[in-house]
Amino acid sequence: MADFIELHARSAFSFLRGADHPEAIVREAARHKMQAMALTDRDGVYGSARAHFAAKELKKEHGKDFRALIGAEVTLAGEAVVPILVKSRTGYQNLCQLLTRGKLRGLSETEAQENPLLNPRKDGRVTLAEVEEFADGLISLTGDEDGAILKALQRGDTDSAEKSLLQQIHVFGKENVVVEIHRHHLRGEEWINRHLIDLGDTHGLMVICSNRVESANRQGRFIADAFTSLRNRVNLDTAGKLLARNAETYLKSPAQMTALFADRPEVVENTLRVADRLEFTLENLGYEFPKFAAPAGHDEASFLREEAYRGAIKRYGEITPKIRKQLDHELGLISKLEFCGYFLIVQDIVKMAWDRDILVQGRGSAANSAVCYCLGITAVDAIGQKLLFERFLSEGRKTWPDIDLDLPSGNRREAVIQSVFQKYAPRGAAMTANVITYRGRSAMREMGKVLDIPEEILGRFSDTWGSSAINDTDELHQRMLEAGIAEQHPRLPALVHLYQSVYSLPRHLGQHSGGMIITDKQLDTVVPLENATMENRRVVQWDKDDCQDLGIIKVDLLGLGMMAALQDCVELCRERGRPIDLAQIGKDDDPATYDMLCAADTIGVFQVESRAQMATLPRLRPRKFYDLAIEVAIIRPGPIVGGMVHPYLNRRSGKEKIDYIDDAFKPALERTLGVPLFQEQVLQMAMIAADFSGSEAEELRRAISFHRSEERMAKVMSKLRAAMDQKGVPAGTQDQITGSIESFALYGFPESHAISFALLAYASAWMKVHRAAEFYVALLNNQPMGFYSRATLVKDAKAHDIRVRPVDISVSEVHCTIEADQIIRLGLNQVKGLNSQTASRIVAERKTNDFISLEDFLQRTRPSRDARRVLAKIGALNVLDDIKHRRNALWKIEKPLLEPDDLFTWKSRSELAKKDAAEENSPLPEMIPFERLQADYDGMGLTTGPHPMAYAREYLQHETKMWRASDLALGEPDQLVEIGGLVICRQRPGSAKGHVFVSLEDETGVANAFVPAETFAKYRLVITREQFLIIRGRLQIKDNVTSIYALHAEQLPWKNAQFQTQSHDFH
Amino acid sequence: MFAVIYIPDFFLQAQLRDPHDTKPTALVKTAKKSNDSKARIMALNQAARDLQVETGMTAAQGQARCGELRILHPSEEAEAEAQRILLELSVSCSRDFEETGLGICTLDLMGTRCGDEWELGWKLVEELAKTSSLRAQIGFAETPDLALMVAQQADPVRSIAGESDDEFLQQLPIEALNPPPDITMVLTLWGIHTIGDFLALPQGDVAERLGPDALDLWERVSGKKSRLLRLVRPPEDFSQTVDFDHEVDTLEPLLFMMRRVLETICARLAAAWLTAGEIRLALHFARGGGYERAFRVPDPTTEVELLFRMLHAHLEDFEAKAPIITVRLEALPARGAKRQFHLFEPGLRDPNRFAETLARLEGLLGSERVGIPEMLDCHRPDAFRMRPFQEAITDQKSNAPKPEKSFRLGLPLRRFRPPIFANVAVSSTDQRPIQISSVRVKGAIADCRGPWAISGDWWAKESRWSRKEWDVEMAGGGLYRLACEGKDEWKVEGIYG
Repeated sequence: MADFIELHARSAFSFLRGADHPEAIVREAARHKMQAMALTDRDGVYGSARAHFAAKELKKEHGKDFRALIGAEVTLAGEAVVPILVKSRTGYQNLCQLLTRGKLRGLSETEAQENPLLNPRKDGRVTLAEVEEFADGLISLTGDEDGAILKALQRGDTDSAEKSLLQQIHVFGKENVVVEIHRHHLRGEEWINRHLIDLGDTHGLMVICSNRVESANRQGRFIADAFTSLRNRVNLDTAGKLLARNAETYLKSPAQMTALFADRPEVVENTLRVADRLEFTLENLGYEFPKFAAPAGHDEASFLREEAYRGAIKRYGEITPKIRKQLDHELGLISKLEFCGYFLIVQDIVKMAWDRDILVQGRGSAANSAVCYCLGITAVDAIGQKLLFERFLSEGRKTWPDIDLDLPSGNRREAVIQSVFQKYAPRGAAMTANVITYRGRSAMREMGKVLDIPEEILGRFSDTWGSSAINDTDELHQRMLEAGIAEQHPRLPALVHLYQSVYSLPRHLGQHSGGMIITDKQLDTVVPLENATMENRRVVQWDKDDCQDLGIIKVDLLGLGMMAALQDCVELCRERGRPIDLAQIGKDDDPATYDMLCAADTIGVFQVESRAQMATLPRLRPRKFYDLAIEVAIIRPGPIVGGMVHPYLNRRSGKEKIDYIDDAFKPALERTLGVPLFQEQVLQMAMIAADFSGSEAEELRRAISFHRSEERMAKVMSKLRAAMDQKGVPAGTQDQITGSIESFALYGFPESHAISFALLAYASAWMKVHRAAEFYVALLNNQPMGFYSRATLVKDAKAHDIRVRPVDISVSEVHCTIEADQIIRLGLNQVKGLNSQTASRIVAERKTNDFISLEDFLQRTRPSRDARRVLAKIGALNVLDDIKHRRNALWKIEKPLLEPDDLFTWKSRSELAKKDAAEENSPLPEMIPFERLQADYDGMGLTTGPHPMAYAREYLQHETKMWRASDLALGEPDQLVEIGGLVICRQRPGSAKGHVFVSLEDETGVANAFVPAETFAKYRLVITREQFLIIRGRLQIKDNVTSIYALHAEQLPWKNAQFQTQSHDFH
Repeated sequence: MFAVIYIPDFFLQAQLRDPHDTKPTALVKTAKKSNDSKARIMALNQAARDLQVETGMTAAQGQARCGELRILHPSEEAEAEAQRILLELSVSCSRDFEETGLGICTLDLMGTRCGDEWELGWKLVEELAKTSSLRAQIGFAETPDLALMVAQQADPVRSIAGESDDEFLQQLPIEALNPPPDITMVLTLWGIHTIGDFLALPQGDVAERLGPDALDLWERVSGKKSRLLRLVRPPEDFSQTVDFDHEVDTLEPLLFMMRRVLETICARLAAAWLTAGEIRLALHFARGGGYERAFRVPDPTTEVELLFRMLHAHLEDFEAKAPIITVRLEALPARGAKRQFHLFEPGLRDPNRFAETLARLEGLLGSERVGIPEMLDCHRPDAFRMRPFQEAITDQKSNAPKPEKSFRLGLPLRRFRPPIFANVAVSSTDQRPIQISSVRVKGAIADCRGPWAISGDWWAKESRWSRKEWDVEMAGGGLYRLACEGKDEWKVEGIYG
């Protein structure tokens, strides 16, 4: 047993003040045979959850008892820092509240001025009085050179040092102040240590040693120095004495610390004494999900039953014995597991949305529950779809059920979030954090900056390689050379080292897109809260996985663009007198909808519009709802075009025999023809093959869905193999099972998710077939969303016989509108640079009186100069009597606008009209069609006229032999062809082994190209940079799917064609 | 009549002076705009243009079009040299000329006997190509602005002087006017692509809609308005180069020649009411290579004797690597020193004498060893740089960190300068020093404190360092500071007490 415990250590969660992951520090401490270690991140407990899990893992894997102790370095007003350790749960709650107090208040104006490097909204300071208020249950250390005592001693001011110590004793009590001494091999520290020991002896305080750790090992100094430079916004060359003097602040072993303090063994032993007093770990967090306030005469269970049955009548009309049996079964289990309150609270949030006429739909495994369906939480009829409730809740599964709520993105989701904040105010609700880590781009940019590498080289690296993860040192080295760093650059080795070391370390804390945690007690006693960047939002200091692991229940309030579009669609249909009920349209399998899906005519359709999905649809040929759920789940773009057709598709088309690996798997895999497609099936396989218990299956589920760690996956797989060995499963079968599970991890999808998404996919496909005008209008009004740009959506609408009329100030509303069944009108929201206030003003003024002339329009609506120009450019002003064409408008709007005065205001409308008619016409020529096209793209990013490729084809007719997208189906397989068009999508899925998928749009449709990795490597820059491309290659036609196997790529030789377009790249 | 010498793609041409170099090349520069930090292509050679690389693209986009594209960055030196050549050529044609921009000179030919403009144009083009491989375009017109536009379109010479220039102007692209960006944007929206289109707009409407800048453009391009040139007066030359008939290998003939050269230069300075603020000496050796040195004159003067003594003092201890074949002296002119000392500020009684002494010291010790030592802001002990005295005289401000105040009173350390190299035996168990052997300190170590470890510059291969220090008490008495740098490089750095 080691006789030293490190009680003062910072991890990278101290953001630019620590150099290693908490897990790495904990593992190193355990390797040194310490029994505990305290993590004291700066102004937060950010890393404590990770340290806690690392300690639990140690116990699980190696049987080591290791306690991850909690603490934090708290910054006081005046910038002195006090390290604080947590003794008890009260202490933890106090620390959380103390930190929250400072963080939510932010910096005062003076503090912000004095510390320009801090973020006034997110960094906070606490007063000594506040520390005193929350001192119970806490132990404080005298700290390091950032603390008041050491600062004073470094100045030689022993009186001030003692005064600060006395203050600390007054705040925490004598028994809770511990003197901390360091030996970092620095000249002068012994003088300070002697004084600290004297102070300790004088006031009867315990003295301990610590190494004030910043990293797990000596190499951490490099990152620590780089972070110091970043924090101070200087580079390493100019950082001077801001940098560390040596590399001694790493986690030292008890043996090293004992040797260092051989002359004072008691300060080493005292660390154990202090650690013994620290009873609290996150094991005893004390979080409770809020209780639901049931109405009088009810408890939670009875009220849930009543609500469920009330909902069942609404949903089913009549409660059959089958329904009753299922509901009773579910309610019994929910009640037994004491989850009734949780269901009611989630329903309460759903009701908040309903009250505001906001569409809401639960997804996740909740879709397996008839109770959730009846409560209105989900839209999937679990009984009708024959979904097993046990996949959602089972007696063996102790974790909280996972219910995610999809809401329309934008203001509507924000309204629901704010309602939840208000309901649990003031400190009962917060968003979970999202830890932003260093990735390729940020790692290179920031490490390059501290090494003073030219911006331009860093930019070039980021442009070409920023999005890819480069783990191999040689490859990274090579990529850096390609970005322009000279082979002999003296800083290249340091850059490679820093890049690799910083990769994956936390960079800053963001806000999770929708994860909310709530409690009816004070959430700031569970975890510190801080301000999010968004106004009126607060976040906790842990991310969603950490929260989940600690048993904190989160409800995901996710924003889906398609939900917003569907809600708009429904409203439009109602307004136009042909209402639809979303719940009803999914009930019948509509042949027209499936015909469209089979034809892969799915631009704009939820989930099945991607390039890969479109390539799969004609092969899978969905004819019923469950087929669509499979289609949603079977996202494997790489193998499909790469020649390796998915085994499910082969089996479905009869090209491959159905094989269950083992007959025992038949019940689990039958519905997907022996291929595990859904998460639930994989878990069942593990339970059958390796007798996995419920909790082990849960562990596997989390490993599959956990993107955080490959290590976690490897661990579970070895466990699975060991269990199968024990059960005597033959090696070949084991390989098949583990192989299918591992490949599943790349593309896996839970069945309930797939079904929930399939509902939206079906609804949106149905809308596209039966309510096309409403569908496209809703999509356009909710951009950006989905896969395609507005230009592509407009083009698709036209392909479906929808007439898209341009923006016109005399008729366009703020949003796009429907003028007739097959005619839509673009709204003012499509105009770039026209703000919503001006758009609303235009509409409001027009409703008062029509605009009779340009001057009338400008005087009444007062658009900015840029707004005037863009409206004139896109032809939106052409409707005015005195405007002949776009250039005419552009000429006239440049004339300075007179301020309205008395003379003007009483001028009659007829006079105005007369005056404008008399105005001379412009000397400018009318725009030619190509100029109009460019103006449309500049002003709106789309055109209602011909596609740019129609012009390009005319221009290039003698130079190229480009095939039109619509003609490709007429070609012969393996025929050499050339396609050209506007790049609308570039994809490089992780599962596609470096192959890339490029979609080119022309005036007839979209042509897809598969670019093998080696061809992509050759034409990387051309493919990633050019707006218009020509691709030559072999035509592939298989199962009604047409694509080009690319052999060559080049830019379209069409000069002067610059369009403001957007492509969907590498998402 | 005005002529404009215009060097297209100046920034690129300044660097690409080899006419046989046909590799596609682009010059990129980072715009200073805050919203665009990307380096963009600002100049291209024809080979790159042929491969559809265009200005305004990012370097990566350019390389997408042409994988072999060579990327260059602006070089101030090369640009200054090319500009110097251009100015020299301009002054040879007309005393009245304007340095309109980098790579552009406007010449007022009124009163010059330049003869036929076409002949002159071709002569200038050929001379530039021959002497410096710079490709120029020459334009002649009645106003400076028109001449510039003509030059930008010339191939390579064009004149519209005395002609009806309507047709030519009509066809010129609007960019030739170089209008401000906001006006360019509106003109583009209006579909105004040529100067002809622009001139076709009613003058009053242009002024009303686009403001005075556009009106000014309109008037200048229509020839209604001409501007005055901002004339350049070339600096007087205060340098002289002497090529020796025979190789010089002793000091005397060199000094003799230098005195004569100084006399000439000082006479020229005096004639221009100037003084020498700095003397630059350049020697060229027979076997190639040379030596250059600048002497700041603290109190600018034209006194030959004083300047000569400064050079003499320096050269007295100078050892040339080879016989000297050429000497060049150049004086940088300055106005007489005007400096008002503060009441209690001591000034140098004779700054030039001081400079002379410094020059002598530098000759003896090397220039890197003379100056004011200044501590560097880093943890490395004794890290310093030498700040030149002259810099100290003229610029009293220094960014050097102030020495740290030490409040701890202990035994004083008397440093050995330089430190004494030592062989040190260390304990095999804890690596502590146990025995020293050096010229000054020898014997067993009775006790030691340390190590104090410091290191830095780990990111820079050429300058990374680390050291460990020990305070040792010798068995025979005496407390010393011992330091070990690198692997096993021990030094006794000082004695305590």
